[in-house]
Amino acid sequence: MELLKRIKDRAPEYDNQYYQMILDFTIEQGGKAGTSTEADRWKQGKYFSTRYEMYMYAALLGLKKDYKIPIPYGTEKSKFIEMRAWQPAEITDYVIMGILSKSGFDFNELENIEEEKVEKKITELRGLLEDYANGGFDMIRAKKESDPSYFLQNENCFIDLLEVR
Amino acid sequence: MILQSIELNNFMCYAGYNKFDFTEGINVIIGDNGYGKSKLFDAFYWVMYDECFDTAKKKFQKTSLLKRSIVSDKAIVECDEGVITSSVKLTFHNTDKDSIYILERRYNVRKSDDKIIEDQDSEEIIWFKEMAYLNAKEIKESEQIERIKKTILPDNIKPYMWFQGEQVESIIDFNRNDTLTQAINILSNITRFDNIITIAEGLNETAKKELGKRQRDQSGDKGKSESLELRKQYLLERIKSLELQEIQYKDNLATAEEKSEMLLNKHAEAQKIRDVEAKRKNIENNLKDIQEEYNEEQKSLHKRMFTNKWVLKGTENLFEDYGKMYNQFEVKKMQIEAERNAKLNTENALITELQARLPIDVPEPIHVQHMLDNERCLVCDREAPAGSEAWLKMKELIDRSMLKIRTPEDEESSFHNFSMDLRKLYQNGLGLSHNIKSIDDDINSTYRRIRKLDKSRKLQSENLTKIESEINSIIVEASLNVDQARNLINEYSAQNELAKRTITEVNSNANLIGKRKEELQKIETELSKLVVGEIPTYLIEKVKVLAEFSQIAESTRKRVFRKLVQILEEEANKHYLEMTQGNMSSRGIIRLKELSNGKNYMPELVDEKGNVLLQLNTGNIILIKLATIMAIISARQGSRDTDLYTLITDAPMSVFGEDYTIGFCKTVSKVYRQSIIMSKEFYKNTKLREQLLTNTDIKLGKVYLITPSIPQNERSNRNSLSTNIEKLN
Amino acid sequence: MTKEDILRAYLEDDLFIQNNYLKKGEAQKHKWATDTNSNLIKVIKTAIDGGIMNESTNITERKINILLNNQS
Repeated sequence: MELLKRIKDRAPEYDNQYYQMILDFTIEQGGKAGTSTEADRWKQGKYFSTRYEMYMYAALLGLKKDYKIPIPYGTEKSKFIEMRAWQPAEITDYVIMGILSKSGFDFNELENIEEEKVEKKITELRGLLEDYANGGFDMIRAKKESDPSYFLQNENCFIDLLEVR
Repeated sequence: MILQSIELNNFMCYAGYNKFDFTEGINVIIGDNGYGKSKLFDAFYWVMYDECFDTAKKKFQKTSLLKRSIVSDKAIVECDEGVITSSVKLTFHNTDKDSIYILERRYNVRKSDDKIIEDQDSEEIIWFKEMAYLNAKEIKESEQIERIKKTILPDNIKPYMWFQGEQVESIIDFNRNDTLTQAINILSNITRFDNIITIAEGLNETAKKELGKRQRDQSGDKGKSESLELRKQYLLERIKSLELQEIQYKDNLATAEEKSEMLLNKHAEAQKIRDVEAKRKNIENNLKDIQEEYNEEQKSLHKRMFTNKWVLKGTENLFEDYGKMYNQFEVKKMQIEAERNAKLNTENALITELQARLPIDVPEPIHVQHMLDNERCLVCDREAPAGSEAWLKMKELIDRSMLKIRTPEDEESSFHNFSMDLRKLYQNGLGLSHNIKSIDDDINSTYRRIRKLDKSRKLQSENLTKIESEINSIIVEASLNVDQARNLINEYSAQNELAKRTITEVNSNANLIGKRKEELQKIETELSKLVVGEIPTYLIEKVKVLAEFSQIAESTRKRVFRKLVQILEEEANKHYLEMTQGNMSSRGIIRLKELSNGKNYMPELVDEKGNVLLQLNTGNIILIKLATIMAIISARQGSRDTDLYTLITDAPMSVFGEDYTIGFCKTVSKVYRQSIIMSKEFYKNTKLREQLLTNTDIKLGKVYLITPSIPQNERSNRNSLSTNIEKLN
Repeated sequence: MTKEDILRAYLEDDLFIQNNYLKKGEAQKHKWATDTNSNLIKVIKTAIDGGIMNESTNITERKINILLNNQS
């Protein structure tokens, strides 16, 4: 079984409350990926060219700080495209790596259970990713709230946010 | 004479009774544009000459044309019925004799039933007091009145003593022979010399005609003489018209030269503007490039989060943790593998050992089964009960045939193998971890690069602003813009072409004249050869003398004129130097350059070596003209003009800037015993006003500040306009 | 300018030296009253006189013609 492939088949979801926030910082693609130029993006004051980019950013933020917020059951969620399609693949893989390391799974054991059970585990992994990303989004939201001008005035806002340790 | 005071009653914007007192020295009336300064000038002029200056038409208009506009609107409105009188009174004091002259002019309109009936003319009343304390006597004889006015201000001096700012340009136009001659005439009577030229030329003509007639009369061949004479006449005509043509060309050339100079002044500015403009374009392009680069960096900044892996900043621990986990996984996996292998090996070893004891199927399984069933070993013929060692060993023999050596591949080790994927992730992480180390540096260096571009961008922007203001100030000085600069250069080239062509024409014309004159000479020689007998000596002598006379008359006039121009130049320089003393940046000497036609001149500023110093702008030219105007009066040999007559003007001092304003006032107060200057320069600029009031080099008379009763923007309603007069000293 | 000044202005012309009527420097010393045989100088004086007296040019011309005609 190709673990990585199976993982990447999944499309993580995010809490709808962040829908607007993601949109604020991401340039609208209008259905066609990668058609807007950097110039357009910059002009619009956006920082990410795809929504999953921001998702990866949030996930890494959460992972870095080990800050996860599980999405409560019953929350409305929205989906991205499958991780398989995420670019760049290295970063995507890195995120997955991070998730795996946080998961605490026993992979040796995992090797010996049936496929359906493995798939279930993969679903758990996806959930974990979502939780960390959720944490990351929360961190961004908190910053926005405490310092509304931060994302408006600061040209380097998301880069400076990486400093968060 | 000293002008002691002016009293205005309902005159234009001076509603009601207004008085200004004056003393010796420079009296200054300060007021902003439209406050009544030029109306005051009109008042002086109106009393003396029954005219006011129309700024729109740039000439003086008589009362009969001005009529009601002379009278204050406020006075007219406030009067319900009856006569409204507008009047101005000037009081002059003849200090030599201590006598007083009072000149008054009055103009009436009548109001009845809202209709206004205007008088056709004004009336003037002149009073004379033999001694200041005696009673005034009215002067009625017009001859006497004219004489008095001439004593106050002679006609020929008038244009140079009482003038409006707008007139300065035209009072003395160096390139118009008439105004220059007029000015020179004040210095010394050049007309006399002109008259002598007329006489000499006339005499020359007639003498030549006389000689010619004599020659024809005494001709040996009348026929030939006649025809030669005809030809001669024709030639004389031709030469005359060619010479007129020459004058025309030379005048054109002089105009072209002046235009060229003017354009050259502007051209130099224009060229400067072009050069500076080119520099500006350069800076602008630089700025554009830097701006683009800067934008690029900014745009791609966030992109770098992913392309340069900045988003992974601070996530080393993730990789570490994963590494540990992966290590554990692999280790355990190997352990499990090893265990399994060990087990397998043990089992296999057993089988191998079994197979080594006896060949397979020896003894045959039937026999072995038989022994097992009987529980007796037939080899050692002993009992082997079931489960005993012997019995088990026998069983082994049957079992072994069914046993096979197993390999690890035969075994199913696990359901899934994650190793590859996990390793892939590990290697990915490993590769990225190297990147992570250098992220901080990468970010910093990018920031540094951006900052540098920003700085450079700001610097270029500053430079651009600086150079743009430089261009603007050059343009303002030269009153050109970039397009005009381009046009100007074209025009200048065109003028140059024109000048070149004119010179060619002048030359070819001169050639033609020369040829004609040669021919004329030949004819005259021939004619004289034809003469039979003798021409009386006196006639020959007469012709010679008068020819010489004519020549001398012409060249002397030129010489005298030139000398007078020189005198004017020297005197003007005295004043100019005095006026520009305070200002270091502009020095130089005025030089009046003679133009090609030998009649007109052009002002220049040169250094001691005679090199043209400054490109003349409007300010310079006005200053030079003012200096010249003063020189005209002050250079008059043996005259006391500057003592006797008052300078009244609203000189355009703003044109030459505040540095020169004080210098101008100083000079004026030195050159003229009394002067009355209207100025706006001291209105807003209180610092300058302070200087005026406190500078000990300036012989100061009275200083007034005039302000209108209605502010500028409410001027549409003139019915309540009056003027406030405030004494400042 | 006095009559003498005006006369001097004319006498300073190069022509006098060129045609050997006067030597260099003589012009400045020449007074109005100085005797002269030069017809040219006489003519000039007549013309100056006429101008100062505001004589009509015709009269001046006639005077000069008479002056020159009476040379023998």
